Amino acid sequence: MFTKNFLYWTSTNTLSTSIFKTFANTSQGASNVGGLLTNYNHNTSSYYTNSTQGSYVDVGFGNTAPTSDDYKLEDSNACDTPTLTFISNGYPSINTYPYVRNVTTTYANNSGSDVTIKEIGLVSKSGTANSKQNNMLITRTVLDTPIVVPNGSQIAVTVSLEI
Amino acid sequence: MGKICLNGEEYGNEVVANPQGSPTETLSTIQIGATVYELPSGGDGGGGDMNIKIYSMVGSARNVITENVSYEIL
Repeated sequence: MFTKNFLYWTSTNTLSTSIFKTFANTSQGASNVGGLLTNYNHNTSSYYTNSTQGSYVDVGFGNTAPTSDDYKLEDSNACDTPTLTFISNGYPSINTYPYVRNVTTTYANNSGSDVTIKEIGLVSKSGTANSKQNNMLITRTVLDTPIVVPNGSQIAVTVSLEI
Repeated sequence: MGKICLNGEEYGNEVVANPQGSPTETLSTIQIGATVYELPSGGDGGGGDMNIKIYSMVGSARNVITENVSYEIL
């Protein structure tokens, strides 16, 4: 489900205002939550760094039904329960037609037991991934069928936006 | 609101006026699926210089943005 952040994100007359909701449920301007849509950049190492612009796919463990008012995953791996280890962030791939934007983030399960992912979200960020003030949730999907990541395995999760 | 009535005869399906409208103003809303009529203005013995046109708005162009999630266990 697209959050209200997504609509604000595409609206040029709101980009400079403090209207986006961060993981902390506070309002921020675009420069603090991932930058302008037309000046979007991506860093493969942005998960742990204070990159001024970037995106990643967050995974979580809550299963409350999504709403457009959601501002973070219910139980975020990045901020709430760091269970899976970030491995890499892929560059977005874009097709010309249909217009598709893919973001893939890979995690490892080194927790010692199987981990079940129940929710997935696309995040735009300008700080570290665990900074609640600098992360903005754009989409949130609660999985109909949770994903079990076996201990010792990696998982590559992709969120695709298509027009 | 009733059916279109011309010279005492009813035509088509039920139509609905916009809330702010009145019987002498434009009907801006018509039920989806209703037949569209264009009625002649005036007429012998009619009710004056009436020019009634009813248009049915049945849809609009739309783009759809979709979000898909996929994964691969490595």
